[in-house]
Amino acid sequence: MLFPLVALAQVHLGGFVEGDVITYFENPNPEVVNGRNQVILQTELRHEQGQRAAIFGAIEFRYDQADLTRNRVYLDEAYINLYLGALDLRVGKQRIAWGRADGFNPTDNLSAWDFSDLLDTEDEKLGLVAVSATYYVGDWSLAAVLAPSFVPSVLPGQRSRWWPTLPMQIDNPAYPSSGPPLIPVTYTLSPPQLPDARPQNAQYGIRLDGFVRGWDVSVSWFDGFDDLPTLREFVVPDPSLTTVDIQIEQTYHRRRAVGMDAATTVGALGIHAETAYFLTEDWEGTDPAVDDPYIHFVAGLDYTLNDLLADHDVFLVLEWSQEVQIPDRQMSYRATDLNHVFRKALFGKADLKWDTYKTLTLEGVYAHSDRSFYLQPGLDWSIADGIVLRVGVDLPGGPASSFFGGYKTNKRVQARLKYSF
Amino acid sequence: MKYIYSILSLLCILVAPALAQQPTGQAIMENYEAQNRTQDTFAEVHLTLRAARGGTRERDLTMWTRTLADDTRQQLIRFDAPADVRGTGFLSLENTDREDDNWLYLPALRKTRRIAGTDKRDRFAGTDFFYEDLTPEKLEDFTYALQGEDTVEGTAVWVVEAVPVLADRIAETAYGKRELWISKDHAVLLQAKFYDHGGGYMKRLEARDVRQVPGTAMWWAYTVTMEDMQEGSQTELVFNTLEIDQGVPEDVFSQRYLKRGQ
Repeated sequence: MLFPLVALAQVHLGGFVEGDVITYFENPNPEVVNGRNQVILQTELRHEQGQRAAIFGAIEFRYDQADLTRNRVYLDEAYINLYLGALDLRVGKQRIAWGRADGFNPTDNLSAWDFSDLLDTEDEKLGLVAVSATYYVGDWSLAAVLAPSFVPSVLPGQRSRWWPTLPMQIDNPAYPSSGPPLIPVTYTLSPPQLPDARPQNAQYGIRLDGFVRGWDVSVSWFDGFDDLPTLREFVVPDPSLTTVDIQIEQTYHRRRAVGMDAATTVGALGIHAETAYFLTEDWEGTDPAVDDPYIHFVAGLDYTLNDLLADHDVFLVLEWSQEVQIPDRQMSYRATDLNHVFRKALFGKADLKWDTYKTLTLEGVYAHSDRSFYLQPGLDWSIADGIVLRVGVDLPGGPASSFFGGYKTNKRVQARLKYSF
Repeated sequence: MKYIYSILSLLCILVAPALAQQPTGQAIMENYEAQNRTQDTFAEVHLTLRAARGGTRERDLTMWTRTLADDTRQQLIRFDAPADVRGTGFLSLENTDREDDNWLYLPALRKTRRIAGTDKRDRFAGTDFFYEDLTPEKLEDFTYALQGEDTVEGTAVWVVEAVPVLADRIAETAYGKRELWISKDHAVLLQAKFYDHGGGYMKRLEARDVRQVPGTAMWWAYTVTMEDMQEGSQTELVFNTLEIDQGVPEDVFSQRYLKRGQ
């Protein structure tokens, strides 16, 4: 009888309250959601049972006045940790993060992402119900994760400004014998066809991680599903050829990935690299909609310039990301294919520590493959203990047919005030 | 005149033995180093940062350290408060034959990141303490000269001047000179003044609440205040819990334990 009372007394409650406002500089389409006016309350419960076990749970309550479809009560994470000698066991809904790169992690394939806002993915990793076990020997660990169910990434909805720009008219193939030269198009997104919930569709990953003489290294294996759908289009013309409906089917395909990463430091310079070879379902290259096998690698440097401007330090990160198709079948990708946006890209980040509480930030990506770019200047200001104000400007740009160029009317300012307790 | 010579002679006779008994600066620091040498420590620390323009910030952290047989040091620091940095951890393993291993754990990202060694002149966690203020004194890096005797809050102290001698050390320290007030009874640093390489007065340290650490013969200042004389800011460090040489487990200094903050 006493135990629950004692246990309750040892529970730590925490979390955060966050206000988040987004305003776009242009609103060319009144039919879509042109802003964000959101409050999040996340409550977190933590309980430690000595050195043997711990419980963690986080529930998010989200209300967006500008887009009521974003409102939700969501179980972010809920798991139990068991510490069994050299073995750590985590069971429940959890976020799994693998890899040592900053901008993009090719080896991080277990947990999916909420991409409903393509430029705001911070803290948007989705929990996955899984059992993960990590066994430690000296400076090395072997982790194994088994996820019986599949969670796809969340994509922008059709009323989102991040829904891709699609042509509203197509050429009429029967013109001039029948109908007008251009036919209006509508799009219908079919419900996603998720993998069946059966044991054969369970996902798993294994990772050997450790460090030796100043080098952090890991090798990993992933066997599961691509968290992004393959899109197939089916044209359904109206018999009179006055309209066309394009139905978009979303299917999820199996993929495996063998990966490795490494990091070290040389003086004040940090060096890291990460790569994965994706063994996709279309090994023979017979289905143009499904990815062929490819390698994705990322290599980067980080460096702190001390006292660069007066007494201010600047932390710099620079990363190159590239894909190589092996075998090379010259497969081309849609501009909006999120798996391949960074197939030739340069990431950069500079944090200027203005003082103890204020940091000026500049992040950017240049996607060389389609000549598009994205810049985000911002300010992080710790106003008081536990209270952080983040103000940033998102500036996507490039050719209209490119990934970031397709969203160049989505330039915007975002302000976020977060109180952690 | 003869009378004056007699008095001077008498003074010399009286003072000379006293001067002869005074230890050298080096000897005082050797005793200080011996008295403060630890095998391992566990501490829960509360930091109060007071800005020059008013306003205070609070930090709570837990620290574990241990010194290995080859005199290298290992350290794990975990932030417990404020809530926005809770769980953030820093692990440092010193090496003799290569660069030190340093990792930072950021709970929001669920990731451990290898980081380059910290500049010893950087502020620790935004406080008025530099990293070099929090690392043990390496006597071979400095010359120590006894400046005299004094009292601090009624406690008799030696006043020692410390100047870096090795070129490497001069390059990596923010201080061209330090004046150290070390208690005669328990070899505790009670006060210090820090000067930059140009001789400018940078910082002032005051240590109070000196008590014997339970279970040891060691005495410790449980409250230490560092004041930045140029910025006008001040940081007070209070040891809420301190355990010395109680046997911190070896596996604390691992990435596994670093991540336990989540």
